[in-house]
Amino acid sequence: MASKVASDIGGGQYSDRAARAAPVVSVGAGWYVRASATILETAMPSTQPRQQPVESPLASELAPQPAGASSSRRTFLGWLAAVVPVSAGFRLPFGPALRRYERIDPALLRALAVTILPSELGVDGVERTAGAFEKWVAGYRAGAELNHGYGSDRIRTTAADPSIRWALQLRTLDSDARSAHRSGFASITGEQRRAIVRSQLAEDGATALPGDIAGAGHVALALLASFYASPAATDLCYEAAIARNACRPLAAVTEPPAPLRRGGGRS
Amino acid sequence: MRRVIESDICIIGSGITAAMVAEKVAGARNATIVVVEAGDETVPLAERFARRQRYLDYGESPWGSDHIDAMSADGIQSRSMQVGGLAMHWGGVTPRFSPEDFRVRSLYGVGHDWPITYEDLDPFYQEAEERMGVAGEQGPPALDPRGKPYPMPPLPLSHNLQLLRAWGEATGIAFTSQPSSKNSVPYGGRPTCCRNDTCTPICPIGAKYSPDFTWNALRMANRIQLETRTVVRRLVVEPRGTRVSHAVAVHRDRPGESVEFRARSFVVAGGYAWSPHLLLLSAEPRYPNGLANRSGTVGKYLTGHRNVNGYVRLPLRLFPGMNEQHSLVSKQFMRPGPLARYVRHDLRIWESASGRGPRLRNDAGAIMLGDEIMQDWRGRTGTGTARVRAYYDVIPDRESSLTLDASSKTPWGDPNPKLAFRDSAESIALRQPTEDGIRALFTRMAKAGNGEVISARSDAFQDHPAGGCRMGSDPATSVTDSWGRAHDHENLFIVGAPTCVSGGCANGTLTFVALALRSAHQIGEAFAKR
Repeated sequence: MASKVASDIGGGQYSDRAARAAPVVSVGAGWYVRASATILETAMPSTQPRQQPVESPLASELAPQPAGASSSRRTFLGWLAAVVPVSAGFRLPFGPALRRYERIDPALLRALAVTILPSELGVDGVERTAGAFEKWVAGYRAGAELNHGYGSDRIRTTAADPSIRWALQLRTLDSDARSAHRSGFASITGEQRRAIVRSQLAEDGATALPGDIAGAGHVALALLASFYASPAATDLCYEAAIARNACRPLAAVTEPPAPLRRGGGRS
Repeated sequence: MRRVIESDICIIGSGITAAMVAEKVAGARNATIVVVEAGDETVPLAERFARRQRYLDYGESPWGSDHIDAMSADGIQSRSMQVGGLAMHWGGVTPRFSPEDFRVRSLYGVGHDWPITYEDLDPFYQEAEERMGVAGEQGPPALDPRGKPYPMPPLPLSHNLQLLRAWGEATGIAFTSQPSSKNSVPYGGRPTCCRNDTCTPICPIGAKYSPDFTWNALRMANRIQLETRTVVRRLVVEPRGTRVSHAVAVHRDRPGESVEFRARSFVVAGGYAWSPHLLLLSAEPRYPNGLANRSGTVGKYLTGHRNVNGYVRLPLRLFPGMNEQHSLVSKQFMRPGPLARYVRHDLRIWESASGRGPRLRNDAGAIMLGDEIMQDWRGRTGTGTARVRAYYDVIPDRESSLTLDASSKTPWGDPNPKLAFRDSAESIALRQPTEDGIRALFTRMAKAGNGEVISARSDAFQDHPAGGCRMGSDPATSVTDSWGRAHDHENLFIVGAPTCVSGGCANGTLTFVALALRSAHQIGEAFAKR
């Protein structure tokens, strides 16, 4: 099992023999990272039974590990996440069996959304926000030309697709939950989930909500940035139907916006 | 291989001044007009909602291929080389200069007077406002002299701006709704503004004027021929004389083919950068310093204005996003009367959410999640923030200049322009007291509203750049006469921004257009009336 996982990660260029020699692992065309033995050890199999209400295949295949192993597991997944954003069009060197780990797990995303978004959104609001985030991810185009506004001649393009990194981070949340609480991320209490998210954000040195969603270093920041940048969030905060960015009658601009009706719209 | 295109008038560039010249001449004179544009066609109106959404969601440029990769300039302010030019993503803000802007030497002993007065330009300001469609509010007549009313009623002040106007006026300053080329009522076949907040970079409904509307109408009526993807590389003067005989160009898709544009009159409408650049590129043995450059001032006296931008915390409940690109404006400090020391500037106020957005960490530095972020955000929005900004006059130095950059070449081997803005010595001496004075004004305004200035900083760059082919009465010190006609070549006109003597202290586009319409009047004189 370990060999299979390792060889998938290494895109076929990695072997047990190479591992013993602290190998150079290919993680993308022309780009190499020297992997340490510590990182590689985290990929060793375990005989622990699965405990995952939220399906977390990477955790189940790489993980069920004894308590105390979370730090090194985080290191492994965190390492994977860290090497992702190197260029437009980047793909992890996963074989077909592990390709799904590149995709954001919908159930984990919703568990995260419930954890970090305001409760007043309600079930529907959380679902809308998670759905909008998934739509945003699906529509992202790496290498697209960014708006070049007045005052600069610089032409810049959008960064590499961040979703692979975010997908791995969601798996990390789940594996951390399993390590600490023997249950998946979606099954533990809200406080336990928030503690894990806080811990990861602190570890990543997160200081602010990014203005650029794609630049979010962590999936939790990306989801928060996506929500809080939305006109719906502004309306919720001001408890007013401002409807920023929408086409609205010009004449109505002279009056304060109507109070927000819960569930959206004007009262 | 050579292709020759003949016309009565050849206009080089398709930005806002080119569009206005073409529309005016085509409407009044029997003249064939060819317009040459280096860039591509712009994005059609029907596609702009979708483009805007990509901009909102991902920050993508809504304008597609609006620049030529290797055709840029060190020091240039922006890049938009397509049909419509920079005005495809302008903000649509259209104040006039004040009468003082044209007479600063006479009135204050600094800078240079223009060869025309505000009164000379007033009818062309009016014409510009009517052709583009400008919504504006008549200010106090002493501050805002006009021959006729605005063509459209002002954009209504949002609830936020009404509160902010009351605050501003508590300081004794008169504010009005900023004149804007955005429809407050249906105008020119275009709809009323629906305040969806993305005037710049893109208005998805066409309520904001952009030159593509003019080009579409002129092409539909078969009044002009517009050649895109065609880069004019130099102007050629007839062998025995001083008239320009033709323009030599290259089609970007057929670089092996030479294209010649032959015309009775040539109009260079490439803005402050590409107009002087073309004249310098056109050097030949008889004109070793470039065309129209007997004075040696082609590319010189680049001008603009700098600003001080501030944020003021106020005990007002404001709602961000009601019509966030609209603002209040005061001309009080543009018309200051006698001055002990020369300080002139405009003054604008916007709603702002600066410093009041959601945040990840609280004041103690702890990470917030769930309800905490929203509660923290809500707790900081009981009061509001105003953005205040003053553009102040920068007096250009002769060596504030555009030159040819031998180290950077276009795809066709011509040197790109290089721009270096420079204040005159008198402007350098005035900078600190000017900025100090503006900051003191912000502080006074904040106090009048029981608020406080959060920040105030000066931008280094000069906004709304102009100059480079300045107009004047003396051919020894200027490139064109007051009509934009080159002193050295009777059938060559340079229109709009490059002819400006100074940048004033307000957004420049309306003045550029008014100057171009005044030029168009003279350009048309050579042709029979319709």
